Amino acid sequence: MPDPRRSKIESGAMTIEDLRAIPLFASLDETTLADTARRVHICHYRPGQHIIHEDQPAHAIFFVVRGRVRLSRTAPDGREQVLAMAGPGEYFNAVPIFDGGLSPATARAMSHVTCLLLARDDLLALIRKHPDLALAALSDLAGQLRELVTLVEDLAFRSVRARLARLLLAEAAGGAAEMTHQELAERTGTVREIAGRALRQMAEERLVKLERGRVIVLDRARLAKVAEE
Amino acid sequence: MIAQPHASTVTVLPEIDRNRCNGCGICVALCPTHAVAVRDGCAVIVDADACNFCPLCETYCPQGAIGRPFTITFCATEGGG
Repeated sequence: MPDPRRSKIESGAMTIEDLRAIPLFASLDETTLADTARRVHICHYRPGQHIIHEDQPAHAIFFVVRGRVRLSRTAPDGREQVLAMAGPGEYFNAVPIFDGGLSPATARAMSHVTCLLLARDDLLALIRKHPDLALAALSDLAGQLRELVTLVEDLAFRSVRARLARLLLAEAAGGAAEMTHQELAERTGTVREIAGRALRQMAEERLVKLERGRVIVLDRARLAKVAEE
Repeated sequence: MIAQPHASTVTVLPEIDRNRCNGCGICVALCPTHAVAVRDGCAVIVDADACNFCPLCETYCPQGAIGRPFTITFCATEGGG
């Protein structure tokens, strides 16, 4: 559970319409949504603030309302591997809800983030009353598992250069999210120096252009070929 | 009336994570333009105009507290799809 000393938590300020905007809740009837609205807490986080620490108990599910949350795993030597990014409408920390274990990933706010927090017992009670919710959750979890399989495939079989190309294409397509070289390394499963070198090589090949505060993709088609190397 | 600066004209500066910075001063020693200083035990950009966005502070910060932020975009005139 987030430490209330570190995150600003509000209760009972959610409306039914706010909850309906979350895909998992979209099919619930008005009475259930009203009941759920009374049980959720609204949490606000500053950029860089930790929301959950891996291998710690956090028996609640978090729905992102605003901002971007980074889910990662840390190696004993301090290196981090980003597992996924969660944006508005998406949720994280579902695994401990269903297996009762510790959180498998660290969650950190990458911008000003607002989350809805629903305690494990409340979500399980909701699922018992509404089996359709379980099916929707299973469908979402299957999607997350597919993304993890893709990540394992990338890390095992593709080069840093290919992973970097894929990330650049995805980030450019998704809007102008802010990043640093460290973040780039953690998203591509390498260290900053290697990610930086790969980026500079791409600039020399005129695949991208490096400007102060901007990486501009110059040749989308060629970069897509690199992503498949 | 004060005109708001256009987004593209705002100078991008290195970001310093106050939680990670331990005020060791390596960035101050390395900065070729004296744009950074340690104040109250933490590195801060004290001369934004002087910062030339070189990679030295980011590369050599032992705490990984300094990052040079960038956005990733497609080139406006790029025709690929």
